[in-house]
Amino acid sequence: VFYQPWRNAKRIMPEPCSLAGWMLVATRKRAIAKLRRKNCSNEELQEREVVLSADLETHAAQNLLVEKVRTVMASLPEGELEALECAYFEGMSDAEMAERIGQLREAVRTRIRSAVETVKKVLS
Amino acid sequence: LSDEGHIRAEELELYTLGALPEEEAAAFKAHVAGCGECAMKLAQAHGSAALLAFAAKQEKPAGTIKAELMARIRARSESEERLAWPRQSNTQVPIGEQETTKERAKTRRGWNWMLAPPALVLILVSFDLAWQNRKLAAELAKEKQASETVARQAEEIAKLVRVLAAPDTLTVKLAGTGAASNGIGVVKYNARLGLVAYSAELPPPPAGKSYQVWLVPAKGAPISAGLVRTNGRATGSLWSVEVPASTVAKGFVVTIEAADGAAEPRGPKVLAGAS
Repeated sequence: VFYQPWRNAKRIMPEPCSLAGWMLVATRKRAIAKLRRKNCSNEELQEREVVLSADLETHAAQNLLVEKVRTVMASLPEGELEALECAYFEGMSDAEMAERIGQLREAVRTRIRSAVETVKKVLS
Repeated sequence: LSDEGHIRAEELELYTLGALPEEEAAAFKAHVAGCGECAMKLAQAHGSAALLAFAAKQEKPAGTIKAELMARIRARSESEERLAWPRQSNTQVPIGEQETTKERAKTRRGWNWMLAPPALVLILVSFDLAWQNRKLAAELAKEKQASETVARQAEEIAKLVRVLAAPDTLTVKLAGTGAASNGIGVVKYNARLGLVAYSAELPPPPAGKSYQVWLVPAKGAPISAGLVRTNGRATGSLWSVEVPASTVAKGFVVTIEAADGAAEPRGPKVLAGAS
């Protein structure tokens, strides 16, 4: 994950892609691939554009952001939080989430969308 | 897709989280590739979703992780540079081309073996040329030294001719005294040119000693005019002497001194002559 931007930052991250954002997305993909024992080639990590609205330049800004993210996640209804965690941290598809949660796919999608909207509002 | 022909927000969020089924994800990718508006929305959605990582427990990485990473980067860079030859070392080999690059490397290794005999010949020729070059350089230095000696001798002869031919050159005949009573010599001295030409017949000096010629001025202490280092038989020896202007030579004497000469005559006198 560190090696790719070190060698090819300009090619894989054209402006206005954020380095910190790219690293977060690429690291999550690699972690999920490892978790699900999938072959995650370097090609899969080439998210060409990630636009980050938040400031991650200083430790203070990062600490504030951590607080904000944790607060908003804790405020989510249980069903939305579960769906979001299944999707983000476990890399489940909507069908897998539906099976895990015991809901229809449409209901899972609605929960995901609602959760993401709440998070976006707080962090924007 | 929405009624306006763009990606729906719900699909965008699911795709960003990697939760969209494969078929829908493929259609999504195809649309985003040709739609700048949706591509921008996707970039922003990626940015928002990325921040969810901060909900996870923060772990401090091991202290050695940076050193390990740099070592891996170094090792990988060196390996890529070897494979990339004859590309420029800073050229990145795209992932898809690495197999082709390995095949090229195998082919190169084959060529390398074929190139070994001519390389050996070149090395041998280089050694031979280097040896000849060294020999010629030594000969050149020797010739240069001989040429300098000849030039120096020619210059001395020219000076000697000038002294002998000058009308104001003084001739002083020297006669043997003491232990060298059979000795004989002559001095040609030109005060204007500051040159002394000396010729004499004397027995070889005692071991560790030399004959030294002295100019005896009308006033003041004797001035050294030259040292006969080899033996007593000196023919056409010429020395430049520094004497005060208009120094009148009262005469010349030759004494036996230390091998390196003396500042003033102390040894026994063997030749002497008045002007």
